[in-house]
Amino acid sequence: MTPTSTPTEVAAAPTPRASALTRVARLVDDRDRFVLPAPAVIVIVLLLLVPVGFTIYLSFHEWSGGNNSPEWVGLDNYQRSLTDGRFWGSVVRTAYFVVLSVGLQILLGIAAALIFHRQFRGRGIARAFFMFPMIATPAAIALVWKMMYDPTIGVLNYLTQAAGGPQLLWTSDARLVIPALAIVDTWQWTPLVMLIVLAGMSALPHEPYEAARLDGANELRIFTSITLPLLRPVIIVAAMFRLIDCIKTFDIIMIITAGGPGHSSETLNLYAYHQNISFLHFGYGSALLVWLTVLVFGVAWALDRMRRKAVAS
Amino acid sequence: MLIRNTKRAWAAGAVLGALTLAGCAGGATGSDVPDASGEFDWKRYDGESIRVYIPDTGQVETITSRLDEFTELTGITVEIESSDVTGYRQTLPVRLTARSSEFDVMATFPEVDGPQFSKNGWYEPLDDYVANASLTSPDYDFEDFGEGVRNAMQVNDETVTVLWEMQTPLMYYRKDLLEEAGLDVPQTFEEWEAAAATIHNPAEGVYGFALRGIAYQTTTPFSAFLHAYCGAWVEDGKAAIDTENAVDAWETYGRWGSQYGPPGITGFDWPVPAQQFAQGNVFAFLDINLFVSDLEDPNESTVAGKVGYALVPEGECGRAPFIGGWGYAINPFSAKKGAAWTFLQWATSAEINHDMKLTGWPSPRSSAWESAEFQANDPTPEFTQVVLESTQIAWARMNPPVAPGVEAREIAGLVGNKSLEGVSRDEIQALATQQNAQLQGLIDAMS
Repeated sequence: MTPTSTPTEVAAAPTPRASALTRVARLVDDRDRFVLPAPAVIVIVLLLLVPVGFTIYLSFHEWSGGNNSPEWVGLDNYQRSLTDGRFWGSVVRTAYFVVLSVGLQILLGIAAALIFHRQFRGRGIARAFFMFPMIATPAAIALVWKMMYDPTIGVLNYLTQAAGGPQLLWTSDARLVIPALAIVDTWQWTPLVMLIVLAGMSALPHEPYEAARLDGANELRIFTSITLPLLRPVIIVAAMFRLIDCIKTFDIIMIITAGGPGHSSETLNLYAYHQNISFLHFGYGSALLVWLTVLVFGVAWALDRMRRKAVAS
Repeated sequence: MLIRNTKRAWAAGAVLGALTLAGCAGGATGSDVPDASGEFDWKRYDGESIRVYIPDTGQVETITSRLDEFTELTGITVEIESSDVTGYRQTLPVRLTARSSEFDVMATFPEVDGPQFSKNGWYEPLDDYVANASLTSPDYDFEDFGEGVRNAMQVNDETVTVLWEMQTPLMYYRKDLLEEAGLDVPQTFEEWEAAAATIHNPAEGVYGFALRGIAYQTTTPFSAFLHAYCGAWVEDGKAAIDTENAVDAWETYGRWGSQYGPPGITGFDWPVPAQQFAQGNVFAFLDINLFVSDLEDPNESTVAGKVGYALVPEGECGRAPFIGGWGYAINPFSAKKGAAWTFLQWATSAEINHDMKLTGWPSPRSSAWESAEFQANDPTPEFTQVVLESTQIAWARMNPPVAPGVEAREIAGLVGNKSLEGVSRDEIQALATQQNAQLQGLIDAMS
């Protein structure tokens, strides 16, 4: 007799039409990497789009609030910024502050990571204390440092004079103010760099170290030839975090000096704030903010390229 | 205006739509004195609640402690939100730009805010309120505010605020140090400088002068220097802070602060000279009349009882004090202007002024100064004399009459801040010329 239908015949038989629900489920499943984050992405995009969009819109206008509506001026604000001495000054001051702060933080952060990588008694507690500055409220930190920097009643001058040093003007001195602010920023954020580098160090492979020790390399050689190169991507990530944040630093500078003395600690962020909020030049201020964003993106992009090259090598 | 990119057109359209909606959400603008008829009644707005948003220049504590009285009198509940002056100056314009009706009573300093606020439509003119017998108590007596004070409450000949204080600059000095040095009370700028030079002794912790140093704050005390040296902020519609007279004034201001001032003077905010003086570090400082009660309070000051008061120094063009101050105003976007005006009247009433005067507060009403009770209990009659005389001879402008006031202050004030570093006259002149051009730019943009 004829056997049961052959496999090919079974395969050829039409499958029952999949229900609509099943089709949707399959669609979601296929594209889950787009669909699942979608609600969050939509909210964030909207939250970003409106303020950023409005800022860009205003940067092409002139507006001072009140009953007058924004007046179109095209690229006037951008052209004006290119010839504005205070703008370029603020860019230079931002660069100075950022390079000094982040440079110090990377160096000290790596050093701290090396120390905390070793085992020693009380390491846990020491690390917790070391992290305090990062957890403290920036405004409170700024106020305390402001008092410490006071030339007459501040504790820092008390200490320098007790050690036989001069009475410094710190944040009242146009030449010292940016290094003084960089010290505050470094004090606050070195723990973050340390954490990132420490995490990177604990993920390092052991074999190169064993091989190096077998070959008789000393600690310094191991550090410079093995640890540092392997840590490069991690260090670049830490630098990227700090650079982006540092360019935008506002709270400590505003509270401690408000950009003074004169304009000597006025970074781009503060200048944009003054133009917008103090002087109500919303159009020009928005153009400055666009420049700030361009700066941040530029730095982030450059560092990301560096990181990829470091990973690839 | 060509929008080639449709995506940008959509974005702009969406944004404009949002802006329009936000604009519609606020209250109506322009003076709309509430409809009111019949006799004045404190309880006309019984049951309403208002919000008062003001900076604290020392008056908030007193007003807050008496709010129960107000609520009992009128049935209106009040919530006061206060902040420091700098924060207030930054936040109020943002709220007014958003046409917020969240607060009903606000504050303004016409000398500084006047041109900008009036241009933006951020003032609710008060003359019609004062004149309206249904809305204003018959006891209010607006003329009790002297002419100089009433001028200080006006912008473009419209009353926009009622002052809660009366600011005028004067010299505060240490009577004991002057006596020790065997000197008479100085009158001119030269005499003051000579006295300070004699008394200046950093080794003993006594400095000659203290002055405001932060750029946008220096203009207030500096106005007394500028006008006494026959200078002006603006002359015939042109910025004038780089004239020879102005630079003379800047030079003196800078010399007083850099040669005889405490370290860090370039960073001194408005209360700091008084604080330094209260700690006994300083022989003299020039600033507004708000500090007397703190300086004479033995719990707050180490120099209580040793403080002398004098008119601002005399220059070639005489003495040049100004008269100004912060005052209450009605938020033009508020929906409760009637209740707001009721609060305003009460807070600036003769009774409140009288009581605050007894605590040493510079009340703007003449009756407060002339009251028998005050005169009998005045702890500082010398101060009273100086302030009254100062307000009578006041003619200077505290601030460059340019919008935006804060930016004009900062532009001009930067020269003051720089001069405190002790730089040469040439450097001061160079900066003054540069800043003058910027000030002129603002003036041009105003027209």
